[in-house]
Amino acid sequence: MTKEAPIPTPSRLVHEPARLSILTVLSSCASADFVFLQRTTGLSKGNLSVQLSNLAEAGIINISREIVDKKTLTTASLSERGVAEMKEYWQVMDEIRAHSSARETRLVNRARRRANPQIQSQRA
Amino acid sequence: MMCNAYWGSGGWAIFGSLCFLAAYKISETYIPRYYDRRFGNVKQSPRRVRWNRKQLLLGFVRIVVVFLVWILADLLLPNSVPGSRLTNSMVLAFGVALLLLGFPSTKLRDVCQGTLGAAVTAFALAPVLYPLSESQLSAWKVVNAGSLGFCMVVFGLWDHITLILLFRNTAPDEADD
Repeated sequence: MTKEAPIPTPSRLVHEPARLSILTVLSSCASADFVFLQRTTGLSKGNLSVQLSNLAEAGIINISREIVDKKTLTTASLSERGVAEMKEYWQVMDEIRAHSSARETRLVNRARRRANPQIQSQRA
Repeated sequence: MMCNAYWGSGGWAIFGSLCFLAAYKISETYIPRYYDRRFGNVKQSPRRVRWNRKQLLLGFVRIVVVFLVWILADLLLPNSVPGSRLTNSMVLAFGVALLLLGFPSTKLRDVCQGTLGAAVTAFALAPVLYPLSESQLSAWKVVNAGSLGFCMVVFGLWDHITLILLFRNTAPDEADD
C-alpha cells in the first residue's frame, strides 16, 4: 500500500472567513474603500476594521487614509505579498480538492471491489 | 422621402442647453458622490482585453453599420435646421449601436439593451416609413430627441436596481469611515 502524500494546509491568516472574503474582494479590483468592503463582505464595522488592521500588519494589504469632506476615507488594496499569498492559497485549495477527489475515487473503487463478489455470489 | 420639420425658437435651444448642462453637472458631481457614500468606492483593476479575429470583425462591422445608418439618416430623416439634423441622425445611429451591441449576447441586460435599441431605431425611422401629420411630426421630434436621455435614465435605473438588489442584505451602519 502506497503512503499518501500529506494534505497541504492553507495559510491561517488567509483562510479565516472574514479575512478571506476581504481578500477575495480586493483581489478582484485595484482598490476598494471601507464602505464598499463592508457592503460586499457583510461584516460589521468593528470586525472589518480589526481584520483590515490584521491584514495590514501582516503586509498582505496596503491601507491609505485621507480626509474627504471632513471624513476619513479608508482605501485598501492588495500588496504584492498579498497577491502572492492569494495565489498560493488557491493553489493549496486546488491541491486539497484534488487530494480529496483522489481519495474519494479510491474509496469508491474499493467499495465497488468489495461489493462485486457479493453481487456475483448472489447471481450465482 | 423628405419630411420638413424644425425645432422651436432660439429660447427652446437655450433651455435645452441649460438642461443639458444641469444634467451634466448632476451626473458628474452629485450622482457619483451619492453612490460613493451609499455603496462605497471601488477601482477596477487594469485588464488587457484580448480580442479575437471574430470579435474584431464584429466590432468593425458594427462601426461601419452605425456610420452607414448615420449617413442614411442624414439623407432621409426630417432635416431643416442644422441642430435638428444632427440630433435626428444621432438618435438613429445611437439606436442602431444599442441594437448591435445587444445582438449576439444572451445576457438579460444585453437583450434589454438590444430591444431598447430596436425600439429607438424603429421610432427614429417612423417619419421615413409613415407619412406623419404636422402635429405628429412635432411630437415625434420631441420624443425622438428625448430618447437619448430616456435610454440613459433606463440604464442608470437598471444599474441602481442591480446595486440595491446586490447589497440589500448588507446595509452598513453609519457610513462615516
